[in-house]
Amino acid sequence: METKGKFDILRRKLIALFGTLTAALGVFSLRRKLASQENKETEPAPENHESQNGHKPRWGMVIDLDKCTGCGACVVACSVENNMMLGDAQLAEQGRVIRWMYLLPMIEGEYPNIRSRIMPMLCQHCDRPPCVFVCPVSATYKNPEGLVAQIYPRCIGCRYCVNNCPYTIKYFNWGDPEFPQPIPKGFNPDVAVRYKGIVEKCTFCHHRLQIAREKAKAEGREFRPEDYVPACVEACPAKAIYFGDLNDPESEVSKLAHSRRAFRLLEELGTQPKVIYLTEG
Amino acid sequence: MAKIVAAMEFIAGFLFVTLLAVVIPANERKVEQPLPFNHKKHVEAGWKCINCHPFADHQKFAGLPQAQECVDCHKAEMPKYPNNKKMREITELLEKEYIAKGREIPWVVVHSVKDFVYFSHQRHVTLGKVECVECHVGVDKMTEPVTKPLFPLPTYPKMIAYNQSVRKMEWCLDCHRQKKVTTDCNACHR
Amino acid sequence: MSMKDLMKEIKVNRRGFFKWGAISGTAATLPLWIQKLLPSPVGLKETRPKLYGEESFLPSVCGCCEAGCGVLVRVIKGNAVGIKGNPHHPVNKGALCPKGFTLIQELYHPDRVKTPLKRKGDRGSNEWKPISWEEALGEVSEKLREIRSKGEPHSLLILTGSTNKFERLMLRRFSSAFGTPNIVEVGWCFGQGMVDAASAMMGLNFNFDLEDAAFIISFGFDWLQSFPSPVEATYAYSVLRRGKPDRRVRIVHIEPHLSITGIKADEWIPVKPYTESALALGIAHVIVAEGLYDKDFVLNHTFGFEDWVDEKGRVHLGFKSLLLRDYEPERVSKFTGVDKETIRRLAYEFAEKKPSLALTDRTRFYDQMAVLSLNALVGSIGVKGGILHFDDFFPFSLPPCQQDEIARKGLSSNPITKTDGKIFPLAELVSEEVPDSILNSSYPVNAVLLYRANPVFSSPDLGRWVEAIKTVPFVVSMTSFLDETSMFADIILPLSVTLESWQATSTRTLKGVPVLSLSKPVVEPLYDTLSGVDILLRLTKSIGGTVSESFPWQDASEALKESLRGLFTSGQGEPLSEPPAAEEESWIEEETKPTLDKWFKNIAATGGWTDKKVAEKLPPLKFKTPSGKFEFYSLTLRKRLGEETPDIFCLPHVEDPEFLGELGKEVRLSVAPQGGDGKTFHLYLFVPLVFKGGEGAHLPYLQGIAGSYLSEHRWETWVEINPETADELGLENDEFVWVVSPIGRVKARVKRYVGVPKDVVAMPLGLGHTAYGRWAQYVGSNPSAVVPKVLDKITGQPLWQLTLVRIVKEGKSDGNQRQI
Repeated sequence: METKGKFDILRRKLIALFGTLTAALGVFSLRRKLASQENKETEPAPENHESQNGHKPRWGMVIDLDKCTGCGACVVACSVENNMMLGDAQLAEQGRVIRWMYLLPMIEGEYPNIRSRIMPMLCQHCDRPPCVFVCPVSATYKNPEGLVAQIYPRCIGCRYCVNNCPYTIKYFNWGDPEFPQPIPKGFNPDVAVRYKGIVEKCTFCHHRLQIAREKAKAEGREFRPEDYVPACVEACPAKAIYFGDLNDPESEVSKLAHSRRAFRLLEELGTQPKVIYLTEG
Repeated sequence: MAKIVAAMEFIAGFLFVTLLAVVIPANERKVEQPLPFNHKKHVEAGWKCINCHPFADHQKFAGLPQAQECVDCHKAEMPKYPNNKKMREITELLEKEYIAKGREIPWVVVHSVKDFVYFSHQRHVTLGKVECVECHVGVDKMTEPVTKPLFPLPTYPKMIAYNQSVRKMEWCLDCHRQKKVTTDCNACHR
Repeated sequence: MSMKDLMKEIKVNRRGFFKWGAISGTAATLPLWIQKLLPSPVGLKETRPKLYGEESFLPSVCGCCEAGCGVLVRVIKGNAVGIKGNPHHPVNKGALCPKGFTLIQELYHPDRVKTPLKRKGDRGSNEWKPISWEEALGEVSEKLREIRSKGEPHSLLILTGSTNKFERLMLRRFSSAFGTPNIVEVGWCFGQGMVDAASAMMGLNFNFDLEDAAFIISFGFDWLQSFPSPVEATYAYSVLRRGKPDRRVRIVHIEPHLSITGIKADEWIPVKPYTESALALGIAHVIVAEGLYDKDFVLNHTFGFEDWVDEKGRVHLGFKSLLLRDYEPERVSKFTGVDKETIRRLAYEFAEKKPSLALTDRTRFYDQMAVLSLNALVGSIGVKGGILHFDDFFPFSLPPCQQDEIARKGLSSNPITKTDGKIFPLAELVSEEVPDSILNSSYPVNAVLLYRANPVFSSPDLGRWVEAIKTVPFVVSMTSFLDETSMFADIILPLSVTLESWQATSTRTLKGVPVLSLSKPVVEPLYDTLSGVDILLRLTKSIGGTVSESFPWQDASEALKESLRGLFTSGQGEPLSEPPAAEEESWIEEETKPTLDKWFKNIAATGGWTDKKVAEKLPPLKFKTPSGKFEFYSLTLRKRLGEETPDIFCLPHVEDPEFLGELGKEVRLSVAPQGGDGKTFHLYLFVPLVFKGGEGAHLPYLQGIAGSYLSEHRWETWVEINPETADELGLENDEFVWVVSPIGRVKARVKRYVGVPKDVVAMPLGLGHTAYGRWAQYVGSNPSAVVPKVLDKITGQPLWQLTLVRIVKEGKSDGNQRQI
């Protein structure tokens, strides 16, 4: 009996010892974290080199439905530019083939009086994005230039944002994409490849903006908005997609956005999308 | 005496398991460079980083020297170092093994960033005017070729420490914050 | 308790300390162990090669269709990683259609043929043995030499599929030097425009000058999806709608189903298949009857409008009389189901808005004639915004090939299909008659050479082709992918894809500007493949004799350079953009005269050659017809068909017993099969843009776009059924049905679609491959299997829209899409 008692004390002492060590380690590691928290208070500077004239761009897109012919070049150009998953018949059956940009048909009426329209559909990069409000880890956020970004390493795959987006243009990777060799040789090196468990969406080809800014700086000139051309804008054979700075009243997108033909999707939800469509006629 | 033995046994057990956990991954991290390149010698001879890593000022990656460049320079400089047997050996090796056979030198890239990070040398070198050794600390003093260290030390100099690839975003962020450059996630993550 | 007692305890339990040590060690290093065991999170899987190297944008030519758009390929360290249109190329002006972007996927496709293959098992068993090029070429050339030595070079049949103009030149040269007249083009006729009518009525090539038209009406031609030059069609559409601030051109579309063109048009008029020409002639009737036609053009530049008298004094029927006699709006309205008022309204619109344009596809010959004559009536031939006529721009020319006695004898023998007199008078060689000629042994075929041809997929009633090919002793296929037809080959010679080979093709823009698209390979061949022309050069060297002498060049680029000497010496035109400065030669004393070498290098470096001055002046209204004028009454046809042929067969008319009476009883719709629900439907087939030419199904990025007006991301063959009809048949959306015709049946997924009339069902062509790579194999089904072989009497082209089908319910969808 005595032996047991002594063991109890020994056990308690050991537990106390290890407990203290663990606590100490924990505090030690947290201390560094707490220290770096202070640094976070400083306002993260925007891309300082870029907004020299004090003017911050707000990137938006105008799609002229009267010019669009529904050919799908924008869809394929986006897929090629962004290393999109390939898909197969079975995944298509399940609706799990991801295309950041796709053609949305809207067909109403009865034969033969039919009202129909084909709309290229992509992330609207809302100014009040519903997906950003609900992300628990800030993996999606709106950057100072208005682009709604998706940061892949932070995403935990909870799919709250996928559910919250009223346009349903956020896509979740339900499985690892299969890229049989040698397809990875043809990947765009500027864009990350997404794997299972990550949400992805159109980024307005943000990587092209990074590269264009750098190129302008390196060539010693001012960055012009027309240097930044997303893949779909470049691809369209009908030149139906315009892209530019909505904050600049002289830019083409600004002027078109105020045209009498302009409309935005689901405006009543208050998301303030930055993709403006021009109706036919 | 018993105390000491007991303590030693405890430590033995502890170390045994710890070393297992550390040495096995360390073995996988072992990196063999194909040639015994000595940075220090070349820097002392007056070479600048940009001479052999030529894309650093206008591309995203700095580039690595190929056999032709090494041989061209070695041949030109050979008269200055008539007693350097090693240099002659290396030049011959390069000519025979690489240039004649049309092979590229299979350098193992140690300093790199992950796939989902956008890092551009041009931006840092030309636009940011960051010195090479600010991030690649101590490379100019290395006599051995660049390899991965056996043990990933949690060292906390903020940049890419001597011989390590970027493992922590913190290293980049600290410098960015100090120099008041963008810390926007979207600027580096793509 | 004291330290001493503690130590005593420890002494007793000493052995445990190693264990305790081990346990503590494990606990301390637990994170490291977990890291090893867990699957690696994002980004730690680095599957792609790190690309370190200079980046460059190299020009190339998209070879997916005849349009020959220019592309710029982003190449980093020998890898093609990005692609976009070449902004300096006059055809596409920096844009591309969806197919152009997939050139990279085609290059890095996992199912490409990597080495020459030899058949190991039975034909069609898909068992192959990789062999070397020497062996492969040796065997092929031996067989070909054997054929020649027997004095039967005409028993070699060459089937060509999608080729660019230069390849076509070389293949023809080969057939000429070898001695076989049997070089046949196989492939779909969709999307080519009114080619046959243009050659009969104008004797020239044509272009639709869409951009400047004032009114467009298309008859059964989904021109936004199937067009000879898709990028130009789309661009023209945007110009028509928004090109000028005060002008928005009206577009009317007449087609059995609401295609994408129908969706984008201002007015869609549904009709039954092959009744569009009746509507065209009804409109023509109103235009002529009301005197709305362009009298000046018709009087001075056309022949056959009025009745005419030949040299023997016989009176022949003219177009006007035929129209006024047979095509009153009342009758046409009853036939087509379109009401009279619409016909009149369209006629007035078409005649009054100038220049107006009527478009049609390569359908039945007389239908093409009807629509082309509609253009002629209002004077839209040879004017801006109408139909522009041009000579074919073919800048490649080589010195005549060497022919020996064997070759001459072979060339003078009859070709494999009969095309003279009443039999296919306007065709050269009828591809769809080839299997029958082989099967009924009326023609000896000892060898077949396939060049990117896939008739087993793209022909109606494809069983015939399978049977025919199986009987041929020796089949060689030159292709990049193992498609259905190549499955029956004995030897496969793998072709390098577009980005790995020299590309050269010539086209005209819709405005008539000639463009030569020329580029060199942008990447090294990934596998042991050769470009088509290189294979030909090696093969001919092996065969020897005059065949080899006709191909004296070392490689494709040399042959190409030689063939363009004529263009170089003409001194016209310029490269597409400023050529890059030549580094090596800058310090040499340059000759004042440019050399062919340098000119060729510059052209290849910029992506091509063009001559912008051409479009500034329109060609004169002179046509290459027997009368020298635009012929409503085709004298060419009359000559081929014979003097005794009834006049109506030389004039545009509707090939239906309704309008032809006794003469028209040959053309009938196929008899509907028994069974099903007692209801028969007209089967209307169309080709989505991504499957143009029969290729495209093997590329996953293209699969989701077909049928984008119906639903998203579907990889399947669907059948569009009117919702009311579907209700009557008890069909739900997305359910599987069998589409049954007299010769077969295919499975398709029901799409309840308001865009089809109640008695028509529409299906897309392009899916249903049984080979051709993992993304095409067994995806969808091939409606060609249910279309019987019915050929147009005049051109020999298959008629796709004559099938009557029944719909048979299958059961709930189980996701299984096997083709029957």
